[in-house]
Amino acid sequence: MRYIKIIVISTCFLFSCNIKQRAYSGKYGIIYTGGKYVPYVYSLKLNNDNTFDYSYSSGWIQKISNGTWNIDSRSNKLLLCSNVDNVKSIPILVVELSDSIINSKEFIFVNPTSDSTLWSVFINGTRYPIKSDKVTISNDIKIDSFYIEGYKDFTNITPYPLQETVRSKIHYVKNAQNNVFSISFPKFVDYYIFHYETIKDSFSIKRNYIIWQKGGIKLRKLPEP
Amino acid sequence: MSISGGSVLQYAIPHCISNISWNLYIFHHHIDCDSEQKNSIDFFENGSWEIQGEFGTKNGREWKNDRDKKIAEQIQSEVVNRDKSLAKQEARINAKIDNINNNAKLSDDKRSQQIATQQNKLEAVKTERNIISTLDKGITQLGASKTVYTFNTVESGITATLSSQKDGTVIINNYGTLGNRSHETSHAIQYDNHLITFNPLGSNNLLMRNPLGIEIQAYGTEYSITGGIVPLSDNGTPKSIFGITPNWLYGLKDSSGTYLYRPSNYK
Repeated sequence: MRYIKIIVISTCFLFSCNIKQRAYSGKYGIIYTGGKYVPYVYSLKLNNDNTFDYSYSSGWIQKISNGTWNIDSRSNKLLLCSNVDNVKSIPILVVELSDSIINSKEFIFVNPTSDSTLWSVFINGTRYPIKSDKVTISNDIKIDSFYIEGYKDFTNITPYPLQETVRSKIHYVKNAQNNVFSISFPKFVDYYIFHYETIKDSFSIKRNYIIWQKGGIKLRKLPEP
Repeated sequence: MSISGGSVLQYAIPHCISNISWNLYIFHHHIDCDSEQKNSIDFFENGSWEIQGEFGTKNGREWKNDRDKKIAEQIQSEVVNRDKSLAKQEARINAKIDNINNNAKLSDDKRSQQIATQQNKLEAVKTERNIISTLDKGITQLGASKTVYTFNTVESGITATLSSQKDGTVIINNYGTLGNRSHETSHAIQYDNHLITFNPLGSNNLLMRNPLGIEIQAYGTEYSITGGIVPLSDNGTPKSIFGITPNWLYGLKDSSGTYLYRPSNYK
């Protein structure tokens, strides 16, 4: 009986938290149309599934982020945690296979940017440029680990990137017999990865606005379209 | 095309496709592709119906929709107003130069000095007139271009600059003010003149041959159409159109104090 009570109370608590969270979901933003400063636009979307999408744009600068959000009920603060903690250590999805028909080691890469980004796979510290989304190396090379690196030359390209080089987490090979590696990034990685800003912070939130910067900008809740 | 028939009319409204133009008139009432997908009319109980319409591939001379055309015309109308004002300024400066020339009390040095000052002002006014004339001609060019252009007043989203769709449509994102709209339109004109390209098409990544020059031209347009309303720069306020310089651009920042036109910011 005691356990049933605990389960019921916990369920109610979680349910009420969920309702409270839902009250904050929606689109927040500010558009400064110009005057003293260069015009800018902030946009923060708190989705019902506790994911968020953030963007900032002004002049030649553009920043984007995505991740998960929560409300700390004790401090009544909005907690944002980006999907990418560090653009030099982005999660990757690797499927390893053993294929006896081919007499080499193959790395098949799903390119998330489809632009002029130069992607390379670093195998045991050696760089192999990925051409036509594939790298083939000799079967004799023993592979302990590898990671993916992307570089884009932003000379004369706007908006400015926040970084010109991005890198995946190091993948440690599970089985030395495997010779085919299918590599992809999670869905939230696309060509805006070079404009990605990691957000891991708390913000004051009210029903109708979020304080985005210290002493500064209020992102107002926008009406539903 | 013109067809007629009996008492009930059934029709299907084609989807809006950026490179296809079509006009459908039912008893002179224009049905556009944004209208409700109503596909039958049965109120001609005692009469007959008639349709006049035309479909064709867009070969220019059109914006994406009527709203875009209207915005383009509004900017061009502002160009006309501003040009009238600048023409008056030009006439006043020329009159002053005549007065200075006819003033026998002035020494030669003083006269030369005063005329030089007025000549500088005259050059600035003429330059502004040239810039807004370029904007005016450019807007006409965009309307006649094979590329489809459309204006988007930014609400909130990922971009507030020129962007593109994979089908090649170019979106002139702007903040809805005359200055900013003209600024972004001048980037669209630069795109139409192949001075900038999208990298890749479908994004808002712009590849510019000469980023500073491109931006100075756009801010020059903003300055000229608004009569000098441009953001504050750490490197001074432009006293004339000639004050829109790379140095002025370097000093522009947003409310958080970030400089917006300096490559060194992110490296």
